[in-house]
Amino acid sequence: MNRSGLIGWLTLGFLSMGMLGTVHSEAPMRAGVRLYNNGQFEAADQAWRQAAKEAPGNAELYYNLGCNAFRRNCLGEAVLYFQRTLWLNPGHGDARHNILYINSIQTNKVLPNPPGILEIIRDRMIAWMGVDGISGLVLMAFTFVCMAGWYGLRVRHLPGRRAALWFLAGTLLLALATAILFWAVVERDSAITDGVILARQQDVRSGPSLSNPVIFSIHEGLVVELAARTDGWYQVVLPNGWNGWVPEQQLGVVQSVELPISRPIMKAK
Amino acid sequence: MTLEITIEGSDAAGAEIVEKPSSPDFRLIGGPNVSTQFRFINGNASFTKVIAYSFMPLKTGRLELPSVKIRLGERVSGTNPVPVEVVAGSVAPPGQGARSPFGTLDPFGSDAEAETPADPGADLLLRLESPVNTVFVGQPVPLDLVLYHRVRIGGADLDKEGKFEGFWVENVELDPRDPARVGRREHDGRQYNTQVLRRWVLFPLRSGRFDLDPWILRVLVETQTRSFFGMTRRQVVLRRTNSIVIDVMDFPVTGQPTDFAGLCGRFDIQAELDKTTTATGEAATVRLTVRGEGNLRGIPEQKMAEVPGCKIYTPKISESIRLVNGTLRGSRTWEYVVIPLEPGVFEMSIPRLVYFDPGARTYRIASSPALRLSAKGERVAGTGLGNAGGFGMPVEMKGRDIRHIHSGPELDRRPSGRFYRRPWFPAAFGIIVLVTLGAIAVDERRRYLQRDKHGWERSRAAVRARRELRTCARIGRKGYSADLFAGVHRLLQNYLQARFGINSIELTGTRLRQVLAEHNVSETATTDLLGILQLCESCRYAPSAAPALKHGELLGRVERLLRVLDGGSS
Repeated sequence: MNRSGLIGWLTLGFLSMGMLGTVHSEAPMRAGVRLYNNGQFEAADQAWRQAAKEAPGNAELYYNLGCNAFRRNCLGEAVLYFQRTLWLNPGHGDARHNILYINSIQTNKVLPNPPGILEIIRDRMIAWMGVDGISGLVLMAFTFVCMAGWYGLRVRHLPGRRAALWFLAGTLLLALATAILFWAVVERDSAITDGVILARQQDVRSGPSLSNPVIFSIHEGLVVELAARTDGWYQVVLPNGWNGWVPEQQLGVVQSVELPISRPIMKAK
Repeated sequence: MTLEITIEGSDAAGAEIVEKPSSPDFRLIGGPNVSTQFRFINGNASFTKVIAYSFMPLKTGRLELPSVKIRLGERVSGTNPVPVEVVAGSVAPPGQGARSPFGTLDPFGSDAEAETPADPGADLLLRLESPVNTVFVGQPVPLDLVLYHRVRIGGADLDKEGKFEGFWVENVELDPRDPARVGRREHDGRQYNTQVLRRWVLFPLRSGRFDLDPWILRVLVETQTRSFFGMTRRQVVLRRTNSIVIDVMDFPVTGQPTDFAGLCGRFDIQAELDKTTTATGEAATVRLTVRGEGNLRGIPEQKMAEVPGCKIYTPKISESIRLVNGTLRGSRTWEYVVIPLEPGVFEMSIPRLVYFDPGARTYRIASSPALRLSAKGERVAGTGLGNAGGFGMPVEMKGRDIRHIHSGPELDRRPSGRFYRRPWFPAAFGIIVLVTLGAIAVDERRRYLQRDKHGWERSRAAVRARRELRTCARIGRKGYSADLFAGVHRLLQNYLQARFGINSIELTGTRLRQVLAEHNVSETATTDLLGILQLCESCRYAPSAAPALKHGELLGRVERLLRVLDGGSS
């Protein structure tokens, strides 16, 4: 082999190694997008699951996982991921659209209760400012209150004390509103209130064991309120007020970053 | 026996029999005989419909005539069964001829009808009347059905309705409150009371000579008998309308425009745009109104000519037409939505309307000037020239699906947890509280000290002295000089004045010892202070005479001294 041939082979080898290196170093988020677009939904699921473990608070990742679950015909998983997307980002319009669409095709037609006005305000504020923005706002409002208090004390013997008192009162009101909003945000973040049924069909029992009788059945994708938890069972409450107990592995908790066990791809019904 | 059901009211004419009455006790031998009465009493009109059935009882005893079900509009109601006592061999002889449907109106009918009835003859006439006999095709022909009478009328109902072949008929609703309906007219030299029963406007559809169908009316005539009690005799007579001929002429051929569509009357056309300037893709409205009198309903649809670069939609048609003085008057309006697809000035020609004026016996043309619409903006994407644009096509949902995955840069974001969950978040609140409390404390102290000016200056003396000492230290870096000694001297003078209230004038050794002793300053410190003051005083004018001092020694001594003086205060 002459020298030029050797150089050529070496160059080709380096290029191949470089390309292989590029493929291996592709971030799982991007790999998931590529696989999804190629119709490899199982592989995309694996890639995004890995990415979700690395970045558990990324709403877009859960949104993509939801789309992928829908393509795999796992409606329960899809609803869980879309609900989780909305939990992380209440202003996510695409997730809301997809939930509405799945609601229109799913088995159970139990309509969710409409949110109250305070919940709407809270969600709008979170969508607008984000949770971190509201945290910053609270900090700022507290600073303003302290400054206003300090200023009020400073000018309490001076003629301008009345204006200072009004300023202090206004700041206190603003701070109070911000504090309530912040409390609502923290409450929303920390409370585990909603679950999504993952099983195709799930019997709901009157108590937290298999010895209790079945009182009704629900289907995948139904969003239920979680009222209590004991010994691996959740007490679920339907929007129409019916309640019963479901094994915890049959539902996914919305206010969590844990990923449910992925089911193999299902054929469309 | 005859069972009569009488229905009175404005919608009585529409009453229908739902099913034939039947009973095992009676045989139905006749009926239903239906008569409709149009009654006018004291100028008020009402309708009465009488339905009569003839029954023959099949047995004797207390029987019941069956119920009859009548439909009135949407409602079906039944009559009550009528109890009848049937006795053997005592059947009353039937009356002469057919029983009048109006017989029930007269409780003394048998007495009144005992006399031989006489036809009222020319005292009762039914006429079809029209002010015109010769018209053109499409020209309106007002027509009235009028009852002329010189006798008392108890009621009337139509026996036969004539048909108006060759005419398009517009019925005119008669207003019962219209006083013109009832009046007096002269006919053949005799005065009659008149009542207009029906009114129409006929529009001839073709030319020719038309003999209108006769109408036949049954009239209940009431006449006074010559009996002692002055009873009323009632009699039903038939009246048939006179023959009336309408000559319908065709339109003259001479001067007939080629686009004449057979419209007859007097019309005017008017066109307007709701705005003269618009943006491309934005709608403007062309309102085209034809006003006038004649057969307005026969006006053909006014079609706007296509305008290249504009989309013209199918018009919305509205009309306001009423019958006035035997003809139709009003307007018809076509509203076109026009959307310019590209910028420019568009001229929209208004179609002309050719009609025949029967009064002037000539053809006329109604027209309106063209409208100009100016459009500004970009050409609307996805549309071609003329009316081939994409507007007006409804968007149809052909399928539904979830939305696509997101692959933007936000996907690569790694959220680092909530802000408020980090430890520095509560710490920040603590810092803010501490800073605020500190600021308040400083303020309060300053305020407290400012109440006593001397005390304030005393508290500030050490601070000022140290500041001046730093200035001196900068001067002393270059070596011992007059400026340094002067600065230290001034520093100590200012300090003593602020701290102990000793003015520079009274700054003598004795006075200084006395004051410092009062403030419990040690003798050593006093001596040291006096030594430094004397050194500075002598060296500020002759620095070369200064003793050999190490670098910074003087300032160090001053600093130590200040510390001692500060600590020694009471």
